[in-house]
Amino acid sequence: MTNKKQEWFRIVVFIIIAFVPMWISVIIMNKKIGFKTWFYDIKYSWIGIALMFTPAIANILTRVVTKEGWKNSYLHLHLKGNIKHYIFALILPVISGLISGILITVFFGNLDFREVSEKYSFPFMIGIILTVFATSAPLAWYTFGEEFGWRAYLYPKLEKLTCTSGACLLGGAIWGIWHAPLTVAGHNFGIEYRGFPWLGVVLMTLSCIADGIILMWITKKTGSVYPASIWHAVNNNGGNLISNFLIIGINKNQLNQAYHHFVFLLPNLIIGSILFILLIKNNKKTKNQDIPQE
Amino acid sequence: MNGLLYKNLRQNLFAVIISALAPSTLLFIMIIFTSISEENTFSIQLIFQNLADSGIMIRLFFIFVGYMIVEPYLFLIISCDEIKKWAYFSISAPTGVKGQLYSKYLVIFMMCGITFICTYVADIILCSVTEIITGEEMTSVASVLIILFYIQIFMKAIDLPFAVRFGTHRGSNIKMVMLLGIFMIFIIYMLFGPLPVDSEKFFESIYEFIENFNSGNIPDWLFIVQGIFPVISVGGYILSYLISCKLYLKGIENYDK
Repeated sequence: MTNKKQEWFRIVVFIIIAFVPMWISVIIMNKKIGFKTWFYDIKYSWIGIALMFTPAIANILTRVVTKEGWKNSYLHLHLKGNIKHYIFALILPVISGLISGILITVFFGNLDFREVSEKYSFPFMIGIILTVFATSAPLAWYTFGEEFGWRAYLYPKLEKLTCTSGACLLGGAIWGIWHAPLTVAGHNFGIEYRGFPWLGVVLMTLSCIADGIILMWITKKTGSVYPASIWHAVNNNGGNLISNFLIIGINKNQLNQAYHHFVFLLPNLIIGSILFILLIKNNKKTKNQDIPQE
Repeated sequence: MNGLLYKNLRQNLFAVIISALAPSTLLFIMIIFTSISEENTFSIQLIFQNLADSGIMIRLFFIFVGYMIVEPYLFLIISCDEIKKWAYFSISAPTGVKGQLYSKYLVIFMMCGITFICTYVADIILCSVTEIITGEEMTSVASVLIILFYIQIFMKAIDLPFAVRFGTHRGSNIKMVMLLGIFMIFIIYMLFGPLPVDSEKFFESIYEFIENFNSGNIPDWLFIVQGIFPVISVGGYILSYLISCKLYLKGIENYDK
């Protein structure tokens, strides 16, 4: 097998191992137990955790099965010179969460931000933001399960075989489709929007492409998978919560249409686009440096 | 650096395993304790019913004991290299004192993380199994575990420079003296300070506070403390590393030949 063929073969093996257990178990549980019960009840919470580790298991198994070895595992911390990226990973989801809240209010609310201070005390808001930082970092082990699969294995492989933009688009699409059984059960956007469930899957894929670019940028910058895990953990645990502070003048239960969710995802889409350009530029610069000067 | 990390992990593999298993094993041992009841009947249902009824304090007590077991094993990472010749040899490597201590601080941090993750998973499994068997929801102690993780880091940030400067043996003696001091203050307060008239109410309020804390039902100022404390503990840990780097050469003089 040529090197390129072998790499594609590894990607296929990885995708099969990452997808099959996740899809089968989620589909069965959605049917038998019901999404809300198995996903939110503590009785089944360990299943959710285990499923988040399927990409990591896929990474390990693919390396073992295809005798690939452990090069480019992205398991080193690389703290030296990268502390700023770790802090960036911790803070960015909170900032985009705050912007999401503001955008939702600007587009659909009454634009009166005085209500924020009437509703919540300043110490409470600061406390919640700090608590999100404090609790999310130790909980990054959850999201490590996903990041060790997607960012530490699939994305670098796709980048090598296609190009940076190919890795961003294809990787994000694969990641988004991996979430599909959860999205069609209402996990990401509920079930009440027009165009349910397929519009949700498209929106989730779009969101995953943008988030994937951010995570790929952080992982490439640091050469480590941990900052990406931290970003993912903060995003999962606090982004939503923090945006709630600034959603004023609207009943949050009515924010259930796809365009509401699109506005909510806008900050990450913009950040993702900026980092996408940076990734492409950086890639061109590296390529130019690789060409020997005459 | 990788070599030093590998060496520390390989040399202290047993300590790492203990840090992973001690609190989680104690959580499962707790089931035996809670199964002791006045009724003579024995059934799995009854055991887990007792567990569900026991509340979070018993669970936290067993977790706390587990953390106490892990504590001396964290010191092994420092004490395993307390030989003058080896210490001088290791700092003569290109990474120097900073590299030597960085690897130790990192392994200790990792062990604290492993303890947290294993206890967290064990607690979730225990809650799941209890709910499956009894049908009653048992609250996870996740919030308290996160704070415990930061407390452990904070404690290490204080302990480690002493252990590096005076050796683990003398370092732990100094720590004991400090703890004794705090204990004396506590005793003096208990003897002469204003105490609650109704002790039962006092303990009930502590219990209530911990339950509220676990469910996030806390006053605003405590949210801020909860958010700032991790920054202090992690910042303190980094500061502790920098202090230890300064003290390490002096500390080597106390080591055995």
